[in-house]
Amino acid sequence: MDIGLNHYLVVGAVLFVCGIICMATKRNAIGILMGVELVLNGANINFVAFSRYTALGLDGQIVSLFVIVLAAAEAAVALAIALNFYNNHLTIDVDRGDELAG
Amino acid sequence: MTGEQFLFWLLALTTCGGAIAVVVSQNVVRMAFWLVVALGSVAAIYFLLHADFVGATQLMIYVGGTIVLLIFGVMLTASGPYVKIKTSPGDMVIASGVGVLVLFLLIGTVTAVDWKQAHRSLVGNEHAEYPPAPAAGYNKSNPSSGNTARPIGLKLLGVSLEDTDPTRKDAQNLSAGYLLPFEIVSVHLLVVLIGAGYLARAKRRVPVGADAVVETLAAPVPVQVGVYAGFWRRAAAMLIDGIVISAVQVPAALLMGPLTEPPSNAFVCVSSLLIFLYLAGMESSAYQGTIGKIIMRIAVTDTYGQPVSFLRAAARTLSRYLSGFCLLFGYFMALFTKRKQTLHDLVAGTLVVRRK
Amino acid sequence: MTAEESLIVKLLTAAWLLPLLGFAVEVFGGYWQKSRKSKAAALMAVACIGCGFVASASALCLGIEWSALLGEGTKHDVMEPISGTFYLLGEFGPLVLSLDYYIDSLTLLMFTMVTLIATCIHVFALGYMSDELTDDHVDHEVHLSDGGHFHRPGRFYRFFSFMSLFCFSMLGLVLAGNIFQVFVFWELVGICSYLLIGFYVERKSASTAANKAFIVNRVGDFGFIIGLMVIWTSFGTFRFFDHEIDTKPVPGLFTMISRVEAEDAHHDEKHKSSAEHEKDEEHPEGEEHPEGEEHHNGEEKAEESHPAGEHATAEHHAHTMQLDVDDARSVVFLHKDNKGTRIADPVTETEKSIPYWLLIVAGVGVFAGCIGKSAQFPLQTWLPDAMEGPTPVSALVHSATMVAAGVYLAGRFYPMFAPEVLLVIAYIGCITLFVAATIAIVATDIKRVLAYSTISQLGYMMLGIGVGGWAAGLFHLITHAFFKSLMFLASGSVIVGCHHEQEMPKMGGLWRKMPVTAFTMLVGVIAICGLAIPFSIFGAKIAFSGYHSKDAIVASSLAFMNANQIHFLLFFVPLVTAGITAFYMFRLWFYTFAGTPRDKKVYDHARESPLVMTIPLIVLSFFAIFVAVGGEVGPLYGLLQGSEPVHVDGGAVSVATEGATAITMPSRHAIHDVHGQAGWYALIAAVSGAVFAYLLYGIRVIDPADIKRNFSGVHTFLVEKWRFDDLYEVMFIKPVHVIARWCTGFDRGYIDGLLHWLSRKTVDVSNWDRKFDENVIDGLVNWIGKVVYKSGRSLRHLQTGLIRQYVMFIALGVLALFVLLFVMFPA
Repeated sequence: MDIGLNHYLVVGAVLFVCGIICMATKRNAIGILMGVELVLNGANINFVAFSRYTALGLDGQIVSLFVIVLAAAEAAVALAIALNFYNNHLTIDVDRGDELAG
Repeated sequence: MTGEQFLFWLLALTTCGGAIAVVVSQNVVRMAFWLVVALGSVAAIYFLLHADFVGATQLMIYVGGTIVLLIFGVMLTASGPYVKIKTSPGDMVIASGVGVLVLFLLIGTVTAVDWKQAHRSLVGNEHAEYPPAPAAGYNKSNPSSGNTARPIGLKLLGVSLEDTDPTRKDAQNLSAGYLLPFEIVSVHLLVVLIGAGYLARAKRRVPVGADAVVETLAAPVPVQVGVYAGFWRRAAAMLIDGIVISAVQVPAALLMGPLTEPPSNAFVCVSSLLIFLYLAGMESSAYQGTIGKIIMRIAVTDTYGQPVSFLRAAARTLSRYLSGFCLLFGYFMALFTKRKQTLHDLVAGTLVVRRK
Repeated sequence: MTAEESLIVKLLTAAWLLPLLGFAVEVFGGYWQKSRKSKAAALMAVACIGCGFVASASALCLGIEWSALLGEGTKHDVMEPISGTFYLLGEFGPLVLSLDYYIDSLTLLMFTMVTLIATCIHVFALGYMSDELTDDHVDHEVHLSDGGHFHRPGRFYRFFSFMSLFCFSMLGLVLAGNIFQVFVFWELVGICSYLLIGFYVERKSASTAANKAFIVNRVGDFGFIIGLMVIWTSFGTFRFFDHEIDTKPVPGLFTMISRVEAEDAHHDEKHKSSAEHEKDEEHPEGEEHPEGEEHHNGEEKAEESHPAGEHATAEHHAHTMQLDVDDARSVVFLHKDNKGTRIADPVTETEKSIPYWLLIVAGVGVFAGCIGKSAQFPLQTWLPDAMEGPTPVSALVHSATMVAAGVYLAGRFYPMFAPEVLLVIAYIGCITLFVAATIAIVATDIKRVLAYSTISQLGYMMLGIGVGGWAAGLFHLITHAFFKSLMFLASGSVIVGCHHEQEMPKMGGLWRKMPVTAFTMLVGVIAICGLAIPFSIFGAKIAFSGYHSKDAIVASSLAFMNANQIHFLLFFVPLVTAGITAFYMFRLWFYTFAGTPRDKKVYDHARESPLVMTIPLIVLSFFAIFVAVGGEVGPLYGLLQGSEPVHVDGGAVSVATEGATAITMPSRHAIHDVHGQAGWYALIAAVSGAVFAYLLYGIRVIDPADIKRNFSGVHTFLVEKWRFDDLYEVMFIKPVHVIARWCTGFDRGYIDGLLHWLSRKTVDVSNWDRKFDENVIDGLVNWIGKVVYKSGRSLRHLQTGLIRQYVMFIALGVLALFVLLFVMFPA
């Protein structure tokens, strides 16, 4: 069986779902951050796969580059947020930060 | 099984396995390890997809950067009991259920599409080759070798190699330049990094009532501690400074030659240096401000209300470029920051206050 | 304009405007001064009017051609009229509204007279009004509900500011060069009299009297306005004098209506009044005499011969002057110059003319204004009530200003009066002088006697003007101004001396207490009665001013009767009234000053007034004696003749119609011829009146009470002032009240009812609207708010603040969206 577009998309989907589950289950702020990275990578695989297997050409790769850059930026900010959260709550358990509860 | 198939399955296994391991791990350090595995495998998959530049970037930024950042975070926050925070099994079950549902949804969607047909209708050619050849690389003689760094660089500058490729007439309308997004992303990245640094920096604990103490300290220029200069007053001061500088610079430029000619590099360097010395020197002098600031009755102080040193003033002046580069956003920050500080104020730790 | 003329204009302008300046300074300065004890306002007023007198007198001396005045012959060279424009208010095509001046010897004379008398009265008022010099003036005439008297700050300054304004208005009226300007100042005079009569405004009687004076004058002014409208539409100009508009000469009113020699002059030999004179037989008579005018009630017709035989300088016979009428006497042609050149209308190419009846309407209309202002019958009722003002005001109103304005206007406007209008004037004057004199017989209030005497004397003046004695009427105006102001000031002195007692029956024998007042008053009485020693010394009769002037009027009316026998009443009534005048004036003097004191309390407290009040009396009595010295050949009469309208001097005025209203105006020579005769008649009447009064009130050989009893009906009728007030009450006031009540009822019943109904309905609708608002609109809004609030309360629990749940929600949301997509688009 030739490796086709579908295979890569399935890998991306698995990564994506793992990221979601990670975000939904980890109480550790860093863990949630990791989930986000997984989601972004799952999406990135899709971009690059489409770039290879469709007429998208290099555009897909460039978008994935942007995603990588923005993910890095996002990670930096999110880490800073996490540090602030830690400073304020003396923990990184996100369940403790429920000040916005209705 | 070809080598490519083998590689794919191997990489798919490590990628998915790493991701699942991240989910099921409870220890944050182990999660970080498994994440490295997963992201590294993704980088390999990029190579497999002939996206060598993206794969390299993935390795450098993710594996070499983001992961390091994450580990920093782990180390900064992980102390004792917080390394492992248990998730309740109920949450785990619900999340897994939803996740599996989403997975089935995605897989179902993917497999439901006839990609070959979709590609051909998109290209507009019933007999187009599928899968198409990999994206045009620099090495035309061996397209499959992948060499995408140069085309991507040109693309970011707004030129598309594919447009010049006579064999890819079908792709002509698909390509476009990415200069503007590239710039935006650059600025965004810069802003985010600075913001992150600001957010994460160690707070300097100012004792309560410090302002009152500051007031008693002798200062060369009597300033109103706590009365910060507003945006428009500062803008007016900048305008005056601009006029002052132009009043010297334009005649000097006239001496050098007609204004229609671009100035010589030496002139630019000298005048930039003089402007820098003017701004930094005045602000660190006993006047605590440039001529515009003196006229507008405002002064530069540090956060304690004291005159600033030359080094701090120099940092502030250089940071002005930073404020200017992010589309002047750094200047507009004075509109909404608590102490009416601009970006360069924040960087240099200075305040601009009203004189008495 | 020569330098002398421009100097005269400047002097009169100064005399005119100085009181206005005084008024402005006094009214504002007085208002803002802290204390009411300052005499500054009064001194300012006296200074202004005094300077005005000096200026006027200088102008008089400058403007008169003395050689012409004192020499023999016609006096028309005494002064050429000076006319011009001060200020142009507005131009509406050919119609011009402007501040003009028209100065002839009459103007100069009036200026001098008014300013002189006003100066005396101002000085007198300095003493008379001194009880106002306080911050807390008690008005004993005003009784408050708590039994006390009314207290107020003194109004010394206000009195004098009003007086100044009064003088300004009167002088402006005299100076005016167009009839519209006359009307403006006419109304200013009216408002000033209103302010001054109502000076004690807190007294009901005073405020009522002020209202009455003002309202009655409005009746006359209504006629005045009609006259103005006729003049405006018919003549197209208001100006008296010829002038230029855009360098185009425009004739003035007097020029337009100038007389022409009667072409069909018929010189009648039947000149009865001058029977002793030689007729001018040389003159051919009866040429082309219209048949229709010949036989008419046996009266003489329009034209009459001119007995000019002995006239030293004039031509042998004067021509008969008449209005330039057409043959049917239905229209009057207008002239562009005094030579009788008719104005040609460039559009219709006809000669411009106006209907004869319109001329009569204009004349009667303007005269109606004079009736109101000069208190002539039937509008005479306001003047006695005007006694409510302070006595100096009465003196000013009765002599020099207010009432003189009417006579002055009648004289000034004389050229515009058709003969029929003159007849109306004569009869109005005749009725007035008789009615007022009879009422004066029975009046007991000293000021009211004088008031009725004023009305009576004004009637004489009007009569004089009406019967063609133009100069005689104005002659009497001048002399009367002096002796009447004198008598009023003397009565004021009496009133002050008797502590505001005005009833003559309570006085008596006062000459011992206040000799100056008594003898100056006697001068005035003799003057007004016209007593004289009928012999000449140095060519002048020994007589006071009143004798000469009244003599002139009686002579005019006698000449008029001679010319128009049907109008015999116009001679006999004034003659009888001359006797009545002497009677009531001496009655007043005897009552007040002679005999024994009737009220001891009044007598004991009486005292002579201070010098500031007696000196004006002496000054005025001097003028009352000597102002008319020389009589008909004296300077005063000569001055008046200097501005006499041409056609009066020229001879008889032609009548314009036939029948009972046919009138022949006596010529000056006809009047002169009967002068001695009339003088005797008048003197006899006056002496008999005086003797009668002496018998009744001097030595009391006849008890007045007996007469009162015997003629109680007549007495009551006279005491009730011929019941004019009652008549007006019934004729006008009652109907107005009835109509007002109807209007009130209509207002209350229907208009108010409608309004109330509307408002009730509006309230009802508003109540419904409020209920609707409260229940439906508010309910809806509240319900929505409640629902939103409740749903918010319940939905807030969704916001757990837990980031992990949010992620789950997102995932579930994506799932749900896809499910929805598959369900809705199954393909």
